Amino acid sequence: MSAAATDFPALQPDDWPELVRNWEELDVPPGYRAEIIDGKSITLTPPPSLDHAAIASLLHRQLVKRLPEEYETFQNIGVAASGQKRVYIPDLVVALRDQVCGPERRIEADEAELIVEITSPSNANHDRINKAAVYAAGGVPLYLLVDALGAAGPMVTLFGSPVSGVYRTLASVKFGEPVLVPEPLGLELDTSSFPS
Amino acid sequence: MSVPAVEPPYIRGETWDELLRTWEALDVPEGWKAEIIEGYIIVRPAPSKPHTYIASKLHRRLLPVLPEGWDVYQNVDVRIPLRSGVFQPDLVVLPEALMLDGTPETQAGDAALVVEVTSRGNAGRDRVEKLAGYARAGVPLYLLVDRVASQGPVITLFGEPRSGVYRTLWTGKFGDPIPLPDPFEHAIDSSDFPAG
Repeated sequence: MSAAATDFPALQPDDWPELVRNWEELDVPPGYRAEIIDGKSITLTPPPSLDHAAIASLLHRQLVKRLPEEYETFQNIGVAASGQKRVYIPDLVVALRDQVCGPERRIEADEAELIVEITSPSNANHDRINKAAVYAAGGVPLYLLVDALGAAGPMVTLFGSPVSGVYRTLASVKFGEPVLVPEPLGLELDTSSFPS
Repeated sequence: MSVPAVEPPYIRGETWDELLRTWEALDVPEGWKAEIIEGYIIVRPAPSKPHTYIASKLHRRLLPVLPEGWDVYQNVDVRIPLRSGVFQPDLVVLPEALMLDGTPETQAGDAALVVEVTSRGNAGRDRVEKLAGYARAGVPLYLLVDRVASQGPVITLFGEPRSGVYRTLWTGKFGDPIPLPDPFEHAIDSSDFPAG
């Protein structure tokens, strides 16, 4: 997997600020996620399945309990990779509490410590490939991909140490096995209750 | 018969209606359009000036070759329930009587011809998702004017949809007359279409 798999549009500074402004101001229907995934338009995704929501909630609870005190866990905040003209709303975002403030709806990618995405049938490849490349290039130190739909069966993969827009795989386990998240977060995640 | 690798997230029934209602109620930024493409709502800015120029020229050139009782329209949303879609083609040829039938919606399947002009940012959807959607709806002719194709601008006329798949009837470059078959039976001038 490499960053070359994703096509980043040439920077056109005149339309990006307007696009982001429209993203910020859009009246998003309840339960929907608004993202900029192609640098040119806003994609609204309907609410995910209950299984999806259950995994997000299980992880959220564990992160709240096990993270060092200075970190906060969010669902539904935006993460912008401005250099790549993307704004995503990851399933979970972990960041230092003092990085997440202000009137806007997004942080920059390099302000996140850990991002979690849970695949859905309609966007699995997007999470596996495009988002991984964007988060790596944007400098997100850790990316946890919860993928119940891959060819190898339900898996949880922890990516880290991004270099030149490419992650290293730190851990890859089946649902049921624990995932060790390294320092500075320094915790173990339990995947035994994940529905699949 | 070709079956898509991943079925759209919403195909029929309750959730399609909910998606439609959400789309209808959406507060779209001034000048932008909202379409539903394979179960996602895509909000995009108004097309560029070259894009608009080509659409307008095609509009004018279609008028004298329309069969009796049909007209060519812009800004009409056409529905494709089987592919969870509501598209707004750049141009669509529809029976005039439909516009006066008292219903608020239009089905893509009633169109004789749809035209899409690509720009950076929507080209992929015009080439893939919309191609599949119009074919699934059984629109007899789909004219794709691809300004931003990597090998140079290309015009493709698709037709004879069968089981959701088109046959390519004709391809050409900007400058080649576009041979529209029955019921138009006329070649459309493309010599003044701006590239890129």
